[in-house]
Formats: sequence, structure tokens, C-alpha cells
Amino acid sequence: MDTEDHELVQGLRRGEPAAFNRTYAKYRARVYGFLLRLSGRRDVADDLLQETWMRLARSAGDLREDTALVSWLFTVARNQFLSFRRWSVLDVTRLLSFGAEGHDTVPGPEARSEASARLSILERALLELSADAREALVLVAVEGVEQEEAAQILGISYAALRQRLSRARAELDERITILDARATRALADARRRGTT
Amino acid sequence: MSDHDHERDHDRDHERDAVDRELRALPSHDADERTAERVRHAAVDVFVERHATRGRPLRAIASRTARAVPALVVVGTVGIYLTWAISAANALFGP
Repeated sequence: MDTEDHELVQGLRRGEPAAFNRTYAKYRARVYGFLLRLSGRRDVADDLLQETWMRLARSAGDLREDTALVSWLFTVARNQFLSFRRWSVLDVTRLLSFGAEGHDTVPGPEARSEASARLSILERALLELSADAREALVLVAVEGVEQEEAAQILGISYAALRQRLSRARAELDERITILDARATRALADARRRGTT
Repeated sequence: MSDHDHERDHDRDHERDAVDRELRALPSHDADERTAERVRHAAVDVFVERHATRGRPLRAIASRTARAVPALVVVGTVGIYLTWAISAANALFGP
């Protein structure tokens, strides 16, 4: 844990609003990005972001001195998402929208430049991964969380995380290949239509 | 392991590193400013209140009760009105 985080934890334990604001400014975007990539929906990420920070607001006084803020926040955010997903199963309207996840966050392969097309393929491929693979890959590869910390957040052993990451990368490669081929076909079709 | 296998593994590692680099470079997402500010505001309010009532259970109960009062007033008013409306309808149209 870095010194700044240690100071933030002390401030949170003492109930200093400045410490809370600094923690929020430092980690809000990362937590939000994690939630958005897990859920694929901005409205869900907004709600879960609020739940996550409310949880910190309520529990700040009970944090242990050696709490690793990154792990704590990502663990809570993930639990909020899992809880949302469980409730989604019982709620037909949410279930229907869950099936359509990703459509408001990730542009299609028709994105203009090659670089942005590649990014959108990557984002879409991530969204199409299984939940287990996605959360592991987003934590480690996208958010840059250390593997030991990521294993803790996911509640699995280090070895299990390594296996999960390996499977996730293979799954991602597969998805990228499929999406790449689809994008190339779509581009060729568009060109053909343009010339005729 | 043959040279060919080594070469293939090397290629695979190289590809994996390339994808990891791309994943790391994905743009960060953030909540829009209004949402971010609303969330911060709500959370800081709870944070301050929790700290103020920490170790003072009576104050915590009082604070929660105070928050519940408006809701109780609304529920009570609606209840009284419904009771009155049902008894009035009974008096007018009842047997």
C-alpha cells in the first residue's frame, strides 16, 4: 500500500471529509470503469458506483489501519455487481435489458478510424467474455491491479487467478478474431455497395 | 520441444503482450460530472453523519428517527384520509 493510501485510510478512520473527497477523486474513475466493463451499462454502473461509495461512507470508521483501499473498493464494487446480477434474474425487465448490455457503451465495428475500430472491437470482445474471465482480465490487464490483490478481490487463490487469466486471454483472442472477421466483412460489404 | 514449438510459443507470448498493452491502453471511463457530484455529495453526507454519531447510539437513533418523520407523517395522513373516505362511502352508500 502506498503512503498516500495509508494517509487516506487514517483520515477516513478519523472521519475527515477531506480524506473522503481525496479518496473519491483518486479512485472514482477506476471503480466506475470497472463497474461499467462488468455490467456493460452506464445506468447500472451509475447506481453501483453510488452503492459502493455509500458503503465506504458507512464503513469508513471500521476500516483497519492496514486496509488496502484499492482491494477494498474493488471488492465492494464487485459484490455490488454480483448482487445486482442476482436480482436481475428475478426481474424480467432488468433481465431483458441485461441481455442487451453493451449497446450504449461500445460503438460498433463501423467506427471511423482503424485505431478506434480496434478499440471498439477490444471493448466488445471484453463484454462478450464470460463473467469470470471478464472480471479477472479487467482487474489485472485493464485496471493494472497486482495479481495477488486481484486474487484477493475475486476470493480465489493466486494459482486459480493465473489459470483464469490464461483462459480469459484465450477467450479474448477468440472473440477478437471473430469480431475482426465480422468487421472486415462489413467493411468489404460497405465498399462493394459504395462501388455499385 | 522442437524449434518450431518454441517459435510458436514465442509468437503466442508476443501476441499476448501486445493484447495486454492494448487492454492497458483502453480509454478510462468515468461517470458524467453531474452523477459524480451527486454521488460524492450523498456519500459525504452519510460519511459525516456516521462519524458524528459514532460511539453515540442515542444520537444515531435520533438522527435516523428524524429522517423517518416526514415519511411517517405522509403515511399517517394517507391512512387517516383513507379511513375517513371508506367510512364516508359506507355512510353514504352502505346498507
